[in-house]
Amino acid sequence: MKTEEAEVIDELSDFISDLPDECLACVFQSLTPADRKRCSLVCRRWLRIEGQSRHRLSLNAQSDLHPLIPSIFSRFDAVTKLALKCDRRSVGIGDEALASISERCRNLTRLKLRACRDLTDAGMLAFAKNCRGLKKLSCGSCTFGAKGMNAVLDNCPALEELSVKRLRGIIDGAAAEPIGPGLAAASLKTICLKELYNGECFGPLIIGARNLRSLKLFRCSGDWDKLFPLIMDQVTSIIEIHMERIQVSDVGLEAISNSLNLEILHLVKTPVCTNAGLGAVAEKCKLLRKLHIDGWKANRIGDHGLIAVAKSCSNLQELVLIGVNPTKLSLEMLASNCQNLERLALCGSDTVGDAEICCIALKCIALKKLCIKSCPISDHGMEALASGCPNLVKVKVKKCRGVTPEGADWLR
Amino acid sequence: MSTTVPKKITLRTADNHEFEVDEAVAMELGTVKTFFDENPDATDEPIPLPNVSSKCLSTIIEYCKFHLSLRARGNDSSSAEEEGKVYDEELIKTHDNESLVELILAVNYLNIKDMLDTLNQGVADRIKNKSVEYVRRFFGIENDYTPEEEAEIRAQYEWAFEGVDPDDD
Repeated sequence: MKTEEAEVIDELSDFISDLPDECLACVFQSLTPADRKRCSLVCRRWLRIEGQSRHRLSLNAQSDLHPLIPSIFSRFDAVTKLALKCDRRSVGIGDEALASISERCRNLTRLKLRACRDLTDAGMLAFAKNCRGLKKLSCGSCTFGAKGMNAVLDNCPALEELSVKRLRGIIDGAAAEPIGPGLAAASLKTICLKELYNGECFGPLIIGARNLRSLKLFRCSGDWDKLFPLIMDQVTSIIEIHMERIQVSDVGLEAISNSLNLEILHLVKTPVCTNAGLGAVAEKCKLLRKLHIDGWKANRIGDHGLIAVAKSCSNLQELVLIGVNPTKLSLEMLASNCQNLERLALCGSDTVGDAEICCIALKCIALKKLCIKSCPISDHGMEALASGCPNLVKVKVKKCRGVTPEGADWLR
Repeated sequence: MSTTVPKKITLRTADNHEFEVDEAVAMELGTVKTFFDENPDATDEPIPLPNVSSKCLSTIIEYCKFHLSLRARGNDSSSAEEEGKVYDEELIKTHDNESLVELILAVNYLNIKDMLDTLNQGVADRIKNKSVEYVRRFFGIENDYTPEEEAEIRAQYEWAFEGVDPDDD
């Protein structure tokens, strides 16, 4: 900004003080936290309004925070979304601090905890009793255990989203304490579990979550083949399942096939799953829209399973295959039967060559985005693509040695 | 029949100018609409708007007419959206700080939500990434903190604030 301009403005009266509080609050809503911080230094009135209109607060959750809690939360007295994050080297806030925060933020709808390793079950219980309106809880690298988790589930009947990563407190003992279902199970829509030992202790919660729509499991130990039949027996509302590096086989997939509303399935690095399991899901889950498979080069899922998908999942819009070896056989069927296929990715597939690409170019009429990575294709395939797929808007070709820069020019 | 609202409505501003507008345009003004909702038998007397100047009202009427016509085009949404954006940007650009605030006060009184959001966003854009001193000077706000107080608030739990995560919404 030019200095003359600022000087001219210097002469003007304090006209923005005319703005009603609610307009000023609305102005603050579209500023970043850093801007808001500066605004609160402008004058007393701005400090007050900025504090009262701050709904989202993110704090460094070191133990030094404790004595500041009364002052912070009387300034920000309308917080509904709170993040408390500690770094690995610092001592984090303790139970008393969390209890004190929860007394001052009874309208909290979202809580995010990161590496608050000094919180125990007692702190979570005190929190849960004060913040019964909680809708979303996300905790990572915390050390409280099953009791703390159950306290939240028992006291927060409106909980819709639960995300837990590396909860260290649940590893104690051979017989891990079960988690859930609690009052919250019925309201839960999303459960996401990552890197948990004894992840299966969340079994009772998942089984009780009868309105669950999305279940995501990443690297959680546990015998999921045993749990999935029990889950699918009770929970019929699921539309999205992600599984990554968990112990699951065709037995689990058989059970999942009973989720007749399933639209999204990610099957990533689950090397014992085979064509039979995928076929079972495909045959019954006819609403499937998005399918991601990382076969981890195990070669247990291939043409056979994909043909089953092509035969019954005509709604398929997105297909991602990594480390899977499909040939023209299945790709041709997918292309002709799944007329809505808009996004396709083929990565690290030893069998996807020019013949396969030609077939895609010819038959995937709806295709908009295509990604090919580390596949034995050549310029010939590029040429075919350039003249096929009338709706193609984006093509990514990476690490395909057979494609020369001139070949890639076909696509421009 | 309660639809005795006349097709044309006359609005009278603080500086005693009268504006005759189509009913549809008048109904964009929340305050006017509420008046008619509550007084279905109102006569066609001019409606006094004691908090609105004629300069502001003519801007507001222009805005409402333009956005009404955009909405009337319905489904051709992407180009209409673009035109709306250009219009709004131009509206902000042609107002200095003082007249922008005057307009906000009028729009707030008349309760026109979309227009109010646009104008508030305009104010936000003007104080984005600016220093405290700059914001004060820009809007002519007097600093009512003592230097000690200001230093205290500046230093107060400075370390406690974390950047907000992009995934948090």
